[in-house]
Amino acid sequence: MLADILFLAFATAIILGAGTVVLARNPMVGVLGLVFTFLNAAGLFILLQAEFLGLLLIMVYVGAIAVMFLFVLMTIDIDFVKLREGMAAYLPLGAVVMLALLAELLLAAYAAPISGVGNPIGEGADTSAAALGALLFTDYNLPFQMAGLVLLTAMVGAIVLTHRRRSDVKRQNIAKQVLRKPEDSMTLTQPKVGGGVTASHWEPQTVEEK
Amino acid sequence: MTDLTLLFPTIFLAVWALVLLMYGAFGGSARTTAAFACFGLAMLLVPMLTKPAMGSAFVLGQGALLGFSPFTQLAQVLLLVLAIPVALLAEPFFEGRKAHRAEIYTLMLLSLCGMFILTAAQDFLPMYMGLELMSFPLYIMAAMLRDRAESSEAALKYFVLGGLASGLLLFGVGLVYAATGTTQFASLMVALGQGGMPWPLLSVGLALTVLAVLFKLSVVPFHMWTPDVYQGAPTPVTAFMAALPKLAAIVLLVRLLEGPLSGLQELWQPALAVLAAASMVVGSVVAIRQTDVKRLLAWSTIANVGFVLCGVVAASPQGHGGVLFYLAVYGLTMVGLFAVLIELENLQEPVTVHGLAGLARRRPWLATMLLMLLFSMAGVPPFAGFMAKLNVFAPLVAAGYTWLAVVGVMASVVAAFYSLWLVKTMYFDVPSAEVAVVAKPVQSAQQSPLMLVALAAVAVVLVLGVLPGLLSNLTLPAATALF
Repeated sequence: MLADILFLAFATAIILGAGTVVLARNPMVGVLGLVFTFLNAAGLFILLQAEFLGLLLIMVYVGAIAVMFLFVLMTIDIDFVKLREGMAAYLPLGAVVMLALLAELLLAAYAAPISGVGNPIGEGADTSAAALGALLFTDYNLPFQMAGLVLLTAMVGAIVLTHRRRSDVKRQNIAKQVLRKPEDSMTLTQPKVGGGVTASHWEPQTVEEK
Repeated sequence: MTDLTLLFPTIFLAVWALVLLMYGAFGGSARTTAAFACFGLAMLLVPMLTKPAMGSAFVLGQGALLGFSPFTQLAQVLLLVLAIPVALLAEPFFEGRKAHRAEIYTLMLLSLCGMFILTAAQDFLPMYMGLELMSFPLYIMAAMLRDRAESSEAALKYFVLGGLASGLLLFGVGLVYAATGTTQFASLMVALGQGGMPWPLLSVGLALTVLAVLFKLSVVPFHMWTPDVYQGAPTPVTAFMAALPKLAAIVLLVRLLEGPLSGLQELWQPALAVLAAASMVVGSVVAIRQTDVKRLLAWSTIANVGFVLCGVVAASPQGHGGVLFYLAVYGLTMVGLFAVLIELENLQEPVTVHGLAGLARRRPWLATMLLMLLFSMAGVPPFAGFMAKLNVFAPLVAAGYTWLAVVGVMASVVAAFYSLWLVKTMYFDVPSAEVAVVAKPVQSAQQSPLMLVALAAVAVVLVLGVLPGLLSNLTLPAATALF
């Protein structure tokens, strides 16, 4: 009974939060709606006795991803009103697709109640973290290792795409600065009285990357 | 315990990718990394050809996570054979644009590793991970030319739409799991084997799952990303995207439809037939109106995927053999075409349909190779493209889908129109004044890997056109042993 009430509360909150993400006029409110949705989804996980996944959701999605979203929103300059200009035009099509999917799912849920799913990590497991770990390192080691490769790909990609030499940006090379000698940048001349100094032989040294 | 020798090619690819990554990070030049990558791929062919591994890996309950069969084995060999020339294309393109990075080969190998898992997947979890491992490097490689806005746009578009497809796939797998309590293909087959219509929850889930695969294949209602991504991505990356992931995804589709979904054949067969017809017609007709050659090839990819789906609809060993044959020939033709396009781009030739005018007079060698590859694409008899189309249409008629075969033949007539239109432009049109000024004087084709790849593609297309048995004697027996 209590579980049912909690489920309904979390589920309603998720729908409200997701609605906020889509409809919020202010993008900040939208991201906060996203955080709210994640928190309630974590509540659902905990209700299903998957407390590890619930906490992971909070740590990764709320703690890292949503916060980064907020940072990005604060630092970039995007006209959000302009971005949603097309929304009214696409709304009817979107609504039709959404309603079709909703009808399908409702039909599906009523035609045959969800069956056949027990507790996937097995009854009587000590904690869900331990049980998950045991599965990931034995039966499902292959997908686990592959997830590692996917993360490696993402890491390589982030570095490859951002870390590059740009010709239009000046960089500081400290070793070069320290090793700089007076002769490199200074020319001593003894001009004759009445004569001038021509600096034609001196060229400004370009600071080059190796 | 799992026999890890089954997984040797996959593990080798992952380890070799890491080795290349370290080599590139500690001062190795991109050029030598390319050589190492090709060397590794060529070396891997030896054990794959001499000691083909069959059986199941990671056995769990009724099924296994991975299953290796002659079909997957041949598909993986074909992937490797196609990957080597594609890896050779990267250097001449990126070197001239000052964007040649060692990491591109790491990404290629990681993507290939994902494809190997995808072709062998017998469970939704490795299937999903394989799909992601295949796609992520593609997104990154599409953005390799950071200074060009189209390149970043292509990557972003591909990434967002690919993310959407992954979301749908996961949603579908979730629904399948909710309905049956399993993610394994084998258990799903048992659950579906009871006959009759599957209950709605399961059918929605399965539809979403198949849809995600069709998205990767760019079958018509899910094709909108293809032209923009193909046009914007760097040309060697486009060659990679055109030749390899399609093969991996279709192998997965065949094993999914003929395995767990074989009981639902009367449901998916007509649906796929309609999608195949739509792909062929839309791809061929829209390609006519294109002016950019890369964009034109993207639309022709959509049409070609339609032809390939015909072999899947036939649902017979002949059809599946035809699918492998078609994709091998098609992938090779595409690699050859893109090799010529890169050479043209390097020579500052405009790669638009009108820019090709008079190419035969300026660069006779390139024009000849382009001519042969385009003839093959159009399905003109002495070339392999004709045999490829024959190999998918014949089983289709045998399966009773004559109307689809008729649509296919009509679509290939339209497809022949734009291929021959390009040939006509190259050989009979007079270049406009500005093109004639921009283009350098006539010179023979340069000695570079590009010409080697293009020549090899032309040679194989010719040989397979005359002696199709060389490949179809491999594909047909492999297609009789899907699992």
